[in-house]
Amino acid sequence: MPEVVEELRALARDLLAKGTVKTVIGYKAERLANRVSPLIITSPDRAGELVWNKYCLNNLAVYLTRGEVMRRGPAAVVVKGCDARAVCGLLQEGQIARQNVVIIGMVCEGVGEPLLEMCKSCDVHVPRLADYIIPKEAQKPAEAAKTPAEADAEVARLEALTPEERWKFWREKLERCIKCYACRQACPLCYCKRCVVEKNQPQWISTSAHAAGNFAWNAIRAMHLAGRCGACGACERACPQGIPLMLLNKKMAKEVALHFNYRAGYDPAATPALRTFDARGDNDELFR
Amino acid sequence: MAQVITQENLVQLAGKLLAAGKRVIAPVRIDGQVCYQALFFTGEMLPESEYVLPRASFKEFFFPRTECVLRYQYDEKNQARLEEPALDSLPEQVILGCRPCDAASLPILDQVFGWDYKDPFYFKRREKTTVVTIACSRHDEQCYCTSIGYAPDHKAGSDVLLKRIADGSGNAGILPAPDGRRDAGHPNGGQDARGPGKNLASGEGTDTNLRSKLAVCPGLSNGGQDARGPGKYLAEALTEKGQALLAAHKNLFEEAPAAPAVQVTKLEAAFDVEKVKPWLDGHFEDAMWLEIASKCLGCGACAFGCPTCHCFDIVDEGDLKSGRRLKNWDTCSSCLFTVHGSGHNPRASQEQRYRQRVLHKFKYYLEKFKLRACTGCGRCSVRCPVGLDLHEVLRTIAGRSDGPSGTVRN
Repeated sequence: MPEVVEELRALARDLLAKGTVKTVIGYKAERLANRVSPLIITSPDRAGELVWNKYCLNNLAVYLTRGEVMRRGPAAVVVKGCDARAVCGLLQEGQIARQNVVIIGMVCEGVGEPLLEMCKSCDVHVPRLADYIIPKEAQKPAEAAKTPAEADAEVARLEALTPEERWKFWREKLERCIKCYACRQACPLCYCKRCVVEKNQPQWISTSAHAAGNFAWNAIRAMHLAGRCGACGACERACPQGIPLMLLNKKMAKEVALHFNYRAGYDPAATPALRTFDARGDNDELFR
Repeated sequence: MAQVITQENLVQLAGKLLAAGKRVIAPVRIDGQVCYQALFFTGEMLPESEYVLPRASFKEFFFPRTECVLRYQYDEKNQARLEEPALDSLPEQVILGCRPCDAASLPILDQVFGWDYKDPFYFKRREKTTVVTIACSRHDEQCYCTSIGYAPDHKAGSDVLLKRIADGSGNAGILPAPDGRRDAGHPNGGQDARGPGKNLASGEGTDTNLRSKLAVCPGLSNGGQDARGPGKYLAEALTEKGQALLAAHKNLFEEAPAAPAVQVTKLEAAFDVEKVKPWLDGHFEDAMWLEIASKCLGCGACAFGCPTCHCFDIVDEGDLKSGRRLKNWDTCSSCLFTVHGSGHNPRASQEQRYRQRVLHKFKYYLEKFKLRACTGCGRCSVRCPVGLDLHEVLRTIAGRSDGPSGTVRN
């Protein structure tokens, strides 16, 4: 067993045994060697089931806001750097209290086999915010890169298309949407108890998987994550239909970085971009 | 006399059917993933050697993800006028190259769509569809049809069954491609379903006519062609529809004097499915449900990819003047599925919802229709964002020794 896994298990065992946390959220091995799945444990006896390897794709922060996890009390969560950005968002948005979460940050050189594309532009190999970094001897988190990782070639290529070409591109991709909402369910920041698409008095967003409904849903999902998405890619990996959802998220992140000089998930003390409306400023778009 | 068709002639067959105005549904590669699609042209149809199983079942060609069942309009005298869809004008369709686990879903779906009320939307399509199945010459680690009582060359639901003729290349058997990439002949073939961003990096994304481009070179990025290349198939008509199809295109088939040896993959059953229901009967309450479902996210990825899941929601879209009523896929995994108007939810927790999914498939359906609502295709496990593995759940249940009586959860 690699040392890093031993260290993780020992820490989880200790946190549960001492009662520091009631729940530990991590990864466990699966039937197939190249898949892992989330593991939610409440007893130190099960810490030995935890694993860490390059197949640990899921963003486990999604479980921090689950009723049964919150009801039990403080929880420890195993995160990669990108996942920690989502934890940061949950803290900023008041969804979890800092004293109720123990962040176990795994030093991560990228996951996936082959390596996920997003890992190639990662600037959070050492998770920020972590209470514990594994392996212990790892260096402290680096400063956020000056150039947003979101400013990537795919987004630029789409921006260079004519509106008609872009429309065609998205029509083709979104045609596949089946409204399974795996993107929403896998996203730690889609924590609403009742999503806008489920509000039916009136029905704001069509629940049907036809062209209009698919555009409406995917557009509102992207808008609601603007300035909030931590770019973990959970939505895109969850999509069983292969829709490149991160292109939308990255585009929004790029716009937010440009206009608000804000990047989501780096500073829990920062005011989120969507909460910075200043009525005293010289804002041309004030209500009048 | 055995009838044999080459891959080339199978493509010819698709062409003849298209020319005759039929809708031809076949596995096609789109953005690196194999899906059942209505063909634009025959060149995009993939040979059997390029996929294990398309990413979702073909059920939407019988039971669309969204379908208008009614239109209404109020005239100037405020009289409502209703219009039902003209189901008779639905096209005749041929599914060419589906897998036995998908075909087997049809007799299962027939039950639920026909037991008390014969659903015309489903049965009209069923009537107008001919199913040509290709037996699996390979499988992957997510396949478990034999554990459920089906087989890589099972006949249920097919009108014609094709079996690949053995060519001595001996490549049948298991493929190490389980993490969502069931479409490739080798691990690097095709694209990773978990990271579709990367095919954009190669510049494909800018091509707005992507499908046709892919079709010209189905072997894109090493394309997943296995060493065997396209083959020949032994054809067997199983129904009148199947006989009619073969008879109408006789010239595309060769006659073989004796039935040649075929290449059908061997897949051992991983558990005894007969043990599943007896355990379920006694364990409506069991700590296992929470253990399994604590990670379930409550999305519909499993149900919407499943060949047998059939639940739908009825919604109205429109205004006071006019509108339409739609039938949309729905899933018991969703927390909204059972919410009452009062706000009460009889299945309030994810463990209750996941339990319902398993019980419906392996207990209620079996009791009511003498069939399980599962064909062992493994898509639910492949598509689950958190790797919730039904295969493993069933294997665990079948192996449980705590008998039929229930343990009550504290």
